[in-house]
Amino acid sequence: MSNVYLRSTSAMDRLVNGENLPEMARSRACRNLFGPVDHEEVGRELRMRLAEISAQDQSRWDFNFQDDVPIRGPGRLQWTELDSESVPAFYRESVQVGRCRLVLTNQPPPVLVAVIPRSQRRAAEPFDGPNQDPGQMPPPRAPAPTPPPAPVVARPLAPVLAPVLAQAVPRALAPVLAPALARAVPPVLANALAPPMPRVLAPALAQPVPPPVPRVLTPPVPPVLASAVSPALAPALAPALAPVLAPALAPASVSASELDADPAPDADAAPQNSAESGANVAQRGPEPLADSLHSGIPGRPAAGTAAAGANGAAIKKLSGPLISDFFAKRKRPAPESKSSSEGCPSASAPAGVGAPEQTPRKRLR
Amino acid sequence: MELLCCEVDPVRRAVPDRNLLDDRVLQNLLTIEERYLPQCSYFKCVQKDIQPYMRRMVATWMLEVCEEQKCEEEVFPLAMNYLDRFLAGVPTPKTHLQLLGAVCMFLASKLKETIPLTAEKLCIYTDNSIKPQELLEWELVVLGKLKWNLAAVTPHDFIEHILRKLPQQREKLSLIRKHAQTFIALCATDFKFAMYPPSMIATGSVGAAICGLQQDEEVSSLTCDALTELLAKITNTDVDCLKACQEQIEAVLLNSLQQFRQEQREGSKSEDELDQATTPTDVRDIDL
Repeated sequence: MSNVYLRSTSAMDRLVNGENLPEMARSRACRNLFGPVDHEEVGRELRMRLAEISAQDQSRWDFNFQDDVPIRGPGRLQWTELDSESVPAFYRESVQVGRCRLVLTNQPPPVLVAVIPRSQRRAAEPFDGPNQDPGQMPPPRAPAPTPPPAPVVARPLAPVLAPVLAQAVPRALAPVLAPALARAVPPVLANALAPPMPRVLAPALAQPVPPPVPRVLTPPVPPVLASAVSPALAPALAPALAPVLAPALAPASVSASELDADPAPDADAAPQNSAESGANVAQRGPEPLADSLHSGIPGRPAAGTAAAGANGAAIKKLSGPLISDFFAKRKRPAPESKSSSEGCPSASAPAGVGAPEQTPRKRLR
Repeated sequence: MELLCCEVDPVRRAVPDRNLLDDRVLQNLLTIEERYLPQCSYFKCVQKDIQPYMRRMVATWMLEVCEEQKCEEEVFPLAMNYLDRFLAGVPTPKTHLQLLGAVCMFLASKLKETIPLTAEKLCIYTDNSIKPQELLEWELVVLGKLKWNLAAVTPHDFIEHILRKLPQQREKLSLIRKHAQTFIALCATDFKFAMYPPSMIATGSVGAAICGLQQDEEVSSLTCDALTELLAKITNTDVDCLKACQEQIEAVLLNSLQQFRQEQREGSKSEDELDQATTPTDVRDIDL
């Protein structure tokens, strides 16, 4: 409260530190309550609790803060690498000179974005349709025209804020998350996607010109080819492949029905495919991600500094899950509070000491 | 030779903002307050080493430190809130309890005060049984376990909202406020109140303050019963619960007064030179 009138004059005393101490030492309040403290034990307990907290953080964010790398695997979040050109400048390393902001490096390091994959929300299904997964978006790489930065901030926040929103996101994110390089896709996911897709894809990509009808069952594209082809050709292939691939995909993926409903099926369908091939690549080469993350991060301090992105890869953590936790906790047991007015304490029985239900509650209006 | 002019309050306070006292703010406070209550009665289910009397010991010590350092009124209840929430989740040996209390004061003071308590000073108050370095390290543990959720709602947040809705003369308000604040501090030392919603403690404290003052002089035009009903309406509290809460507060006050008188008698016998006035001074000013 702003008007507590009692005790302001003494705050000055705290500034004159040294002179105050001898007087304090005589004070009755200076006392040891529970006997001598074993400092080694305090240290042990400290390390244990800190380890507990960091394990908790790690599983909450699916991110290894010690090594500064995302955790691959079927976690709650899926980390996706972005070209830092596609995110607003304030996520990149920069220097502020007066009102001018200068971005430091010529080739800005990639940015990581976390999203909650659909598969998390529908645990029963082995995997979800590719176009529901922002990680599966097409990779028009460096030369591709970058979309205006504004939606980058606004959109990616949405899916993580409320899982419900996530459904709407992938499509909106498509251009933004584009550089979400396929190798960022967790191998597990890539595995899941591998059977239905590459058969169709491989021939399409293996030849410079897309064939009218996908021919059958060549072995999966070698990684070099796939990555070389997909960024450059993806836009060009898009219209050509889409009609061909859409029916082919239909039995294999959940997204088929969504493709029909999509306002622009052509644009959507083909980029998925190239992303799929990329996913296939990731399956075989899981290392590049870690490498790219570490590039230009000399001697980065360990935990918790990921968001700072001071020296190299700007790694953006979205605050979503925090906020959704927040809303989850908000739900109040309304019926309980209604009925609990009988359970309110009498003066004689110290009721509130017990379990929460014994607490005096408010009657709802 | 005195060159220092102390007329001006060294802590500059913002003028009270009327916009922060409207009903929307009150409703929001009422909505979110229960999020910051400790999750369980931890003496039964979490703590093995710590007993209720130990909480009282550490709470009394924390209150003394806050009084002596003239912390803002909110610091102590807020620190107790951190302590309770931490203990509700983390089994703690009793030898760490004072360290934990110091950390909680450290955090609450940083959140609420312009010039916060220093780690060194807090360590001196533990009779140097803990080191400043430990205090700083444990700060991180407490923060982590509280999920950095420090801006808890305290009973103090409700006092102004309640007072402005009472038909009181202006000049009595500061006395009522001061007594209510003392009651709130008293409640924070007693585990009985740890799981009560802050709004109820605030309402009960204001009620107890006015009813207590009423015996000496006319501070309110309302009778005690009418007052309780009005108070209950202000914070949507059940009237019976509120009455019970107010009675509990009065009982705790009585208890602590008796304890104090006993201490005083013992103190005068042994002619202790120590300054007794460091424990809650305000409580003793109240005549029942």
